[in-house]
Amino acid sequence: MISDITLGQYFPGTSCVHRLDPRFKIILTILFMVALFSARNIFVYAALALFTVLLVLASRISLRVVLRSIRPLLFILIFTLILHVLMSTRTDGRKLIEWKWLTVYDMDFYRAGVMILRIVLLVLGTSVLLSYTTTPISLTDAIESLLKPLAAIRVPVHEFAMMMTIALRFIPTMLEETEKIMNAQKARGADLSSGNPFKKIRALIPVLIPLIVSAFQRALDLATAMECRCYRGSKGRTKLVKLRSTPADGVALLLFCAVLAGVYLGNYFIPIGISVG
Amino acid sequence: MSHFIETRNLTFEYGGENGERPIRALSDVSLSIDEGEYIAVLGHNGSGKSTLAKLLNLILIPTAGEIEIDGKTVTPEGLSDDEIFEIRRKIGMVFQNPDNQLVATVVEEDVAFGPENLGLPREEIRKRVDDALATVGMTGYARHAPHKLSGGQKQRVAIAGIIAMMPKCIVFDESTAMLDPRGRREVTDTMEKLNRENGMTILHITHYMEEAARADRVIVVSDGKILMDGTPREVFSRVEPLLACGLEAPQGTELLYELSLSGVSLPSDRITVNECADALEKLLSGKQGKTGDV
Amino acid sequence: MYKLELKDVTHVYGARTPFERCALRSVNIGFETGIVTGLIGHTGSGKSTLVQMMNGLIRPTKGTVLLDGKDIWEKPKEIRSVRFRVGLVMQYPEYQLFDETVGRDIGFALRNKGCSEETIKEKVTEAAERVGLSPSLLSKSPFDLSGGQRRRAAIAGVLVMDPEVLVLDEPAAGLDPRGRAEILGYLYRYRETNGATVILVSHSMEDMAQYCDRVAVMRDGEIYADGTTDEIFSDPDRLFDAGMDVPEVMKIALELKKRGISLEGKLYTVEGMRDAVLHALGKGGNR
Repeated sequence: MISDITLGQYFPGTSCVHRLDPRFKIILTILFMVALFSARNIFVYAALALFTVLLVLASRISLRVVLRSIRPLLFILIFTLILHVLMSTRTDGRKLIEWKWLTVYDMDFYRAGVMILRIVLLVLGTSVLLSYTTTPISLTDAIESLLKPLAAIRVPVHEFAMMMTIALRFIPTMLEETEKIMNAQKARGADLSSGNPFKKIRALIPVLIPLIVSAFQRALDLATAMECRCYRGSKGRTKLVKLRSTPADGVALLLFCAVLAGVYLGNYFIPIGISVG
Repeated sequence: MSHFIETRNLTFEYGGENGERPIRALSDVSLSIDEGEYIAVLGHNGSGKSTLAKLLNLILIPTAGEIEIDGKTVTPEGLSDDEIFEIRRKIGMVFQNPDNQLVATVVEEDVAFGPENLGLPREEIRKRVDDALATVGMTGYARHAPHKLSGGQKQRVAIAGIIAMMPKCIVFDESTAMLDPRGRREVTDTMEKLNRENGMTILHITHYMEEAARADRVIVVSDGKILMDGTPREVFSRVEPLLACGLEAPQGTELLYELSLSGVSLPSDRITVNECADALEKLLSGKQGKTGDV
Repeated sequence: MYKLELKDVTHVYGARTPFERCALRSVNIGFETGIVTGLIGHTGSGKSTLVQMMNGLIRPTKGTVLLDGKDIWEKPKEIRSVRFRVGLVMQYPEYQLFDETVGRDIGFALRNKGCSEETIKEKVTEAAERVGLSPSLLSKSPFDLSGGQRRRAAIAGVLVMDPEVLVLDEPAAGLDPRGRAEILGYLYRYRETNGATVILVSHSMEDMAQYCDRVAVMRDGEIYADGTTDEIFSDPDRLFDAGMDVPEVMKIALELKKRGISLEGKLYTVEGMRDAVLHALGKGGNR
């Protein structure tokens, strides 16, 4: 059933990564991305790769599942590799292939390899930190909490968070409804699968219009129901769920900062044989 | 004597734009409701019963007449936002579509929505959420996602969300119309429990006669007016007017009525299976010459 | 020969995933031409799955679906043609309305079939009449209609195909008693005018008793009981054992039986009971 797909693929668990405060996880993700894009030599990259593997292990999510998240990227990665190798105008390293106008150096491969590694590590790191170990709703709470200071300058942080929550809440419901409407129109002979792309889009109109109309009705009903439960924006509102940070979050933060520092030091001190990035 | 809710010549109209004639959903309705009553409001689709419910919790404002709710009077001039807020603390509403009133991704967070809006401290909210879920029998589902629940379960979560605000009265606006028989039973059982055990004033808007039969008082609305107001027995035994306004009487009552149309003398105020069986037993034993132990 | 038949139909959802669930187990059931069959069962008994197999929306994991003796899945690419012959009205069908006018929406199925404009116009008017929709509504937007009118427009959108088999999943869901009686009445008349085979899915035993010639009771993905309405209601204990109920008026007959008074006739409808009581009185009164 379509509605069994959990958005963002959250895998319930109790690992130390699961239990980190989601606000910290957002910050850690940013630190991780900065580290990844700052790395300048192959040894630093290797260290980061090792760190990422340790992160995956710490989350206790099966390796098979994690690697599956790479699969959709395979095409892009190979495409990047080929493009980079063919289009490179740098001429350092040993010549590997020389054929008519095409010259490929071994350094081109190394550089392409590093780019691919960076993409893979990026996906792995963010997936583990934000997708697999954090529910979409706690991410929303975290964003709301982090952006709260902006409310002082009239940024509608609460409203934004409420919109996100409601959207998340209704995605599975609307997926179910889409299935029902598609079935109803198929039962009247609608052909939703064959034909050229243009035809297929036209065939979706009998599905989209009822869906949109129903979405508006839902919004109206929901707004009325919320008002009847005394909702009036963030005025005077308290919250049941409070994000609580623990010493573990502090430790994780220090760890990631250390990694970032290590990257800069590694860039500076290691007299690289291979410069990339 | 002052009642909890009282309407005086309440009228509601809508439309009337572009030169069209306005539609009168309620005409001159005057009734009173006391605390602790369990009332069913029966009516065909379009009879005005839902309009009445929406006027009571200020989704709509009277066109004419007034409503008095716990001492506060509502007139066509309307009320301030704060006054509306206060009234909605006292009168909660459960709607017809189970999905379109659940706002959070986790059951207990949805139940907490109302108390959060009231600005209660966290421990109080926690306590109310736990108590409310226990009352509706959904404690085990506290951390579930709402979209995976059945219709009856969703409505019970919605009810918990209202109970957590501790109102004095809950209005159920056709809350069972979209449910299967089991879901309808779950919700009606909960209503009855809330009234009998917690003294909650219950107003159940419906067109299902078997649900209305469980209430203490039945008000029949037809074409914007109150047609009947009495106990289930008083209302359901009047088969002809019920049928005339598009409603039903219990099958047993209807059976005795049909038989009396065919010339057989039978009482008209029997509404349960046993009562109807008693009446028929008396009739049949007598005619068959049995010396009855009736 | 049956008009529509399901032979040994089994269906499993989500095979080889953690969500695997067997919805139907070796279901064997046949529907004769011109008969109204009622399908009743608790939520989760497999009714919805069964119904979606009848017009080829779902293909059974095992077993065959036969229309006029032919396997509907013989040529999977032509499954759409089956849907014009077996019309399925789903629950709360008013949610499927989308077109600019009611008339165009009702005609949707025929446009998909490739009929000419004149044919469509004629059939649409006919279908609207069948469900009691006034012709003046045909030029309005479906979103301007009342809930009850939209329900009827949606049903007309299926009747317009003149289906040989008409399957209705709770067509009266959410309607008040008058609305129920009207809709079910129209559908009953469709059977009468077209000689169609009608399959009615409902939760209401009273509806089964009132409108159906045959009743099939489903339980846990299987057909628990299947027979004429008389046969099914002649064994109330079997229904109680499956967690089903009998019509209210029949409970009175059962209560009287407990007290030693036996009535004869169709004890499961109000009219039937009335006649049975009058009959019993007639017998006694002749002394």
